[in-house]
Amino acid sequence: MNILMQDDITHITGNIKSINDFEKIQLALEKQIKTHKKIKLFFIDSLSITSSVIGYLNKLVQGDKIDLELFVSNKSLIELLKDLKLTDVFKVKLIK
Amino acid sequence: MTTINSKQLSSLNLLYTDTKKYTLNLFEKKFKNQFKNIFFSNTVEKALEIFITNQPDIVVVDSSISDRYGIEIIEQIRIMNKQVPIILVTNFFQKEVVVSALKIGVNNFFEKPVDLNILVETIKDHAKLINIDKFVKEQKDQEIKELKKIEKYKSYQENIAFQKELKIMKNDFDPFVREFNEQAIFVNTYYKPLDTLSGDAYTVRDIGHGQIFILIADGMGKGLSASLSAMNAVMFANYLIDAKKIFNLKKIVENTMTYISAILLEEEALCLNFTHLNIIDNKMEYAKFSMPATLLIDNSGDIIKVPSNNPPLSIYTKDFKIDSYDVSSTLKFLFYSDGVIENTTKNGGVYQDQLLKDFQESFTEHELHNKFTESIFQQEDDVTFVMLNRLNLSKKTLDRKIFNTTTEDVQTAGEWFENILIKKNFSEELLNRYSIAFNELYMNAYEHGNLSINTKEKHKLIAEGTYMDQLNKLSIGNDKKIEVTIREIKYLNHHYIYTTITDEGNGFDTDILKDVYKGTKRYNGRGVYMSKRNTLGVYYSKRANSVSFLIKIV
Repeated sequence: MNILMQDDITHITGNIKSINDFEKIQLALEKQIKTHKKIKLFFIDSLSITSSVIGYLNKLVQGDKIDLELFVSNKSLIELLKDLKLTDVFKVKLIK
Repeated sequence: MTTINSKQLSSLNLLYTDTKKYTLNLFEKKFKNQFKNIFFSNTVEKALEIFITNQPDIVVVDSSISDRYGIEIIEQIRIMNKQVPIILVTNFFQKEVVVSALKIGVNNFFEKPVDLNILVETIKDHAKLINIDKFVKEQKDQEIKELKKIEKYKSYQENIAFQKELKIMKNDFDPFVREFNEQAIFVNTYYKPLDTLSGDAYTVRDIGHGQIFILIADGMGKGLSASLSAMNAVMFANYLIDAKKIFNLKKIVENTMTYISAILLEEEALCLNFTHLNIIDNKMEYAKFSMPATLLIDNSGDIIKVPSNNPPLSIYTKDFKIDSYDVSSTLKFLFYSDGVIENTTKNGGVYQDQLLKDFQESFTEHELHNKFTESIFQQEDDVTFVMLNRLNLSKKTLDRKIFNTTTEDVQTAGEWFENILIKKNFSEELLNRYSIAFNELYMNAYEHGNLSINTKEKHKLIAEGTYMDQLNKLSIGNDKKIEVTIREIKYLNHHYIYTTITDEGNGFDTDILKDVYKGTKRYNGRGVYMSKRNTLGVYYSKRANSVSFLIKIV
C-alpha cells in the first residue's frame, strides 16, 4: 500500500488490510489535518478497509470535525460502507 | 342524487377566452358572482398561462375571429389535461375548426350568436359532474388517509411483534462452535418469514456435553393463529430447558404436547420436529410430527432421509413416538420447514426436486440458502433452515504457529497467513477478502484478548491518537501467546480452510455481535462483521477466547 499526498488530497494505492497500513494512513492524515480541515481521501484501487481505519476516520469526522470526502473505486467496498452506514458520515463517492 | 345549485357553481373556476373585449365584458357582467373565479384572456399565451397557474375547472373558448386561435388553445390544454371540460363557442361556417376541435376533445359546441343562459346551463351540467368527481376524490383521499393511518399502526405493531419473535427463537450456536473429541460442531439458521408474523419458529439449544436440542414448529395455515401456536411451542420448550432444566426428549415432547394441545383450536394442526442430538454417543432421537424429512449426509457423501414418525399435533393427539438414528458417520444435518420444499422454482418445478442435490453440494447453510434463493422467483411461504455441520479436525492440520503479543507479530501473522493462501492459488480478490478476515480476527485476539483492551478503551485511544503507542506499551513484557491453526478439510470435491485463532485472554465479549449481525449503526464489532461478510462463517468457542472461520478453496 502506498500513500501520495498533495495539499488536501491523499491518494492511497494498493489494498488496505494490515496494521501497518493503518499506521501509515494515520501518520499521513495526522500531518494533513494540521493544515487542512477539509480533506479528500482517494482509495484508488483498494478492495477493502480495516476496522481500525474505519475507527480512525470516524474519529477524524466526529471527534476532530474534519470535513472528509472519501472517494472509492471498488463497488464492493462501497457496498460494505453502505452496510456499515458510513457513506453519509464519510461522504463516500464512487470514482468512475 | 346530486343536484346543481348556486353553491356548487360558486366553487368552480372558469377560464373564458375570447379575442373580443366586449364579449368578455358582457360575460363578466352577467356571471361574475356565480363562479368562484372567472379568468379572462384574449391571447393564446395568456390563456395557457392562466390554465397552468390557476387550474380552472371549465374552459370556454371563443374562436370565431381567428382561424387557429381557439384550436391552438384547446390543443395545448389537452396536452396538459385530458379531463377538463372545454366548451367551444364558434360559427358553424367554420367547419374546419369544428372538425379539428372534435378530434382533439372539445366537449360542447355553441353556435353564434350564443344564448348566454343556455351556455351557463351547460356549464352547470359540467359543474354537476365535476362536483361529483370532487366528492368521490375527497372520499377516496379520506379513505386512503385512514388506511395509511391503520397501515402505519399495523406495521409498527408487526415490527414490535417480530422483534419479540426473534427474542423468543434461539440459536445457542450463533456465533459459536463447539469442539468435542477433535470434532467441530457449528449450527447455522436461515429464517425468513413471508409475513411479519411467521407461522414458522425454531430453537436450537446447546444442552452441554455434546448434546443439542432442536425444535422447528410450523403452524398449519397462515396468519396470527398459526404464528401464535408455533411461537408458543418454541417458547414453552425453551422454558422447559431454561427454567425447568428438562433435557430429556420424551419429557420435553410430553410437556409441550400437553401445553400446546390446550391452546389449539378444534381444526388446527401443528407440525413439529423435536430432535435431540448426542454428538458424543452419535445418537439422534426424534419425534417428528408431519415435518419434511430431516436430511443427513454421511462421510461418503450419501444422503439419508429421516421421515416423520408422527401425524401433526392436534387436540386429538394422545400419544407420540420417538425413534433414534445412529449418526456416527453423519457430517451434515438439515432440518427445515415445508416452505422450503413447496416453493415453485424458476424451471417450473418445486424446490423439493432440487433440495437433495443442493444440500449435498453445499458445505454450509450459507451456500445452501444462496442456492435456494437463486432457484426461486419469489418466496411463497415461511422458510426455516437449521443446518448442523460436523467437521472432523483430526489429521487435517495444514500449519500451526504460535505468535507473541507484539504489534510486529500482528504484521508477521498476517503475512504468514497470506503466504499460506498464496500457495493455494487463491485469486487476488479472495486473497484480499480472506486476509482481511484473518487480520480483523487476529487483531481482536491481540488487543481485546491478550492486551485486555475493551472496545470503549480502544475508541478512546483512537480519539486521543495514542492507540498504537498504547498497544506497543501494553505489549512490553506481555508473555501471552496467540496460536493459529490452519486446517484443510475436504468435502466431496471441494476443499475448505478452517482457521482457528486462540488467545490467552479472558474471552471476547460476544454480546456485541448480536447487534453487529443485525446491521447496527454502532461502531462495535465492525471487524467481526467484515470477517463474517468475507468468509463462509465466523464462530467463537464457548469462552470466546478462540475464534474460527471457514473459507472455501475455489
